[in-house]
Amino acid sequence: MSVSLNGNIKEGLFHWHGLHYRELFQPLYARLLWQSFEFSFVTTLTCVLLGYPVALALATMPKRWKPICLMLLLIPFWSSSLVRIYALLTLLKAKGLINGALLYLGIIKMPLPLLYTKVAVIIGQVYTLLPFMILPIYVLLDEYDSSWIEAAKDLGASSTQLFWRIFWPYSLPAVGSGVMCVFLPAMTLFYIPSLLGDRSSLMLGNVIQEQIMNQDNWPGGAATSLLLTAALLVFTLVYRALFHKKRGGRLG
Amino acid sequence: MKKSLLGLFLLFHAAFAMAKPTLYVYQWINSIPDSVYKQFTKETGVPVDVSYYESNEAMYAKLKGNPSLAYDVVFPSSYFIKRMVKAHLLDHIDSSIMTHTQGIYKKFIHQPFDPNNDYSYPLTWGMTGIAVNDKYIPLSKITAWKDLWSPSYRHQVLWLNDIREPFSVALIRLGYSVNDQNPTHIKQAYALLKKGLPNVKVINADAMESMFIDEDVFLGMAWSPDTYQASQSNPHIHFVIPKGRYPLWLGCMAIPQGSRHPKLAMTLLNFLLRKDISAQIITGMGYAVTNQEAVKSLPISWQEKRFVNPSKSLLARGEIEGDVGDKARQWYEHYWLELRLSV
Repeated sequence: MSVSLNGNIKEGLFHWHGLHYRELFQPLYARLLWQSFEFSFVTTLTCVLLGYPVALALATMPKRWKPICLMLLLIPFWSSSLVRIYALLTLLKAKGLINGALLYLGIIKMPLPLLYTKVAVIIGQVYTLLPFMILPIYVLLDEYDSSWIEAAKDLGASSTQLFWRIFWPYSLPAVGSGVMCVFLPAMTLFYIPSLLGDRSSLMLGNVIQEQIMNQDNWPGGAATSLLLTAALLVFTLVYRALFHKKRGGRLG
Repeated sequence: MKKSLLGLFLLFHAAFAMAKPTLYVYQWINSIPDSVYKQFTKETGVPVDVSYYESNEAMYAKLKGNPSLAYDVVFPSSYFIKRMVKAHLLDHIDSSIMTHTQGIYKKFIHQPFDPNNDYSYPLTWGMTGIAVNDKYIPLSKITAWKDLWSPSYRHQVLWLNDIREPFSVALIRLGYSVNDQNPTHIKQAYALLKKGLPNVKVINADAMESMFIDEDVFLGMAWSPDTYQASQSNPHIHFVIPKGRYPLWLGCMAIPQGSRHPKLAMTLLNFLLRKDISAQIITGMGYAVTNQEAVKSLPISWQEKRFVNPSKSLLARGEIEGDVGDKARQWYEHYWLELRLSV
């Protein structure tokens, strides 16, 4: 498998150097990479904003509720993520549940165009990836020591101060790994934009699929995969650099 | 170990195949009804095993990726035949077995992509036109291709996700052939399509039918049989044949290289062209067939449908999508990606 891919890439790079297409394609791929980045960034940010409060609530709730809530969080993920995206289709359609309910309640007169928009892609990605944000944060927050809260309160900290000065710095490494767990897959989930997105919801993953499945351009597809892998590697390195600096700062 | 297992498997497979030949058919989804194959099995005793694809490209990728798949019959569109022949994916068809070809419209045989019909025979054909939901848009408003560019339909139009179709439409509007290979013309078509982009809501082909039925989309490029099928579920959907030229495609039958029973496969091809069988394809799925005698045997309600029983002048307006060659194809693909990434 890896050998055949290797051969393809070699052939592909040669091919691309040989043809003047390479230059034609260049700005296109930069734009594609940027667009994938934008989608993933918005998805990740939304996941942090939604996931953190959920993780905090999970970590601070009474012990006997925890298993039930965790189960509720995980049950949907027993089914395939593709099936869950199809489920979203039935929610977001013009004749879907959300529009149906709004029409029935008389809030809207015409169905809202929810499906086949960029927002639908973000919804799909957040829905698929949210647990990967919640779980690492929850695992870390769950081990907090209740004596911290007592100590902070004794010293006169308000709840806001308690959060920003105790919980937030403590959970930062978990947020970091959550970001990695969400951001990297978000760049590659090609079926979400192709099922939920509009005409220009296109990411690197979609182009790889297009090149290999539709254009019979395996060398091109392999080259694009390489671009994606390289981009992900760069993001991982940036993350590591940031993360280690933070940790060093804290220790020092 | 792995090899010997594979050998064992193949041996069993071969033994099984020898005992009872089965034809493996690989066809477009929702194209030929199962009843047709059941009748073939009844008449010949040969079982038919059908699997489906949703695009020529997917079929091509699968055949090319794994030549040992041993399908016996595939149904590439007209513009894919030459490409598949060049890639050595198709087998010769023995014309002496094909006895039901006299009913085929003259326009559809001896095409440049397969001048002697050595590799393919057309079975179905269809138009690329415009689908409209009259609940949202009055039918009288949509008469020509340029209406898809009208500023009143911003972010509402569906384009078929099949590189050739949007380009064919643009080339027709520019007065060029749908099989144009001139890079300058392709670039002009690209520029025209780019102007139409603000109107485009979604670019899709395989989910097009359900998008129209559920009214997520109510205007767009469409294939005639798909639109017919959609209109069966939602009577507000209509197929408009635009003024002037329209792209016409042929659903061809071919035999992949590596077929285990090519002779038997040819019998099936010939069987599908038979008048009564072709008629079943029309009534079952709303596909127009190339055998013009088939539709004449059907009730008047079918004969009135222009997309299965076209007048001479209507048929003359259709331009068959043929092969454009590898070089032009790369230009089409390049500009297509460029379009998909334009915001």
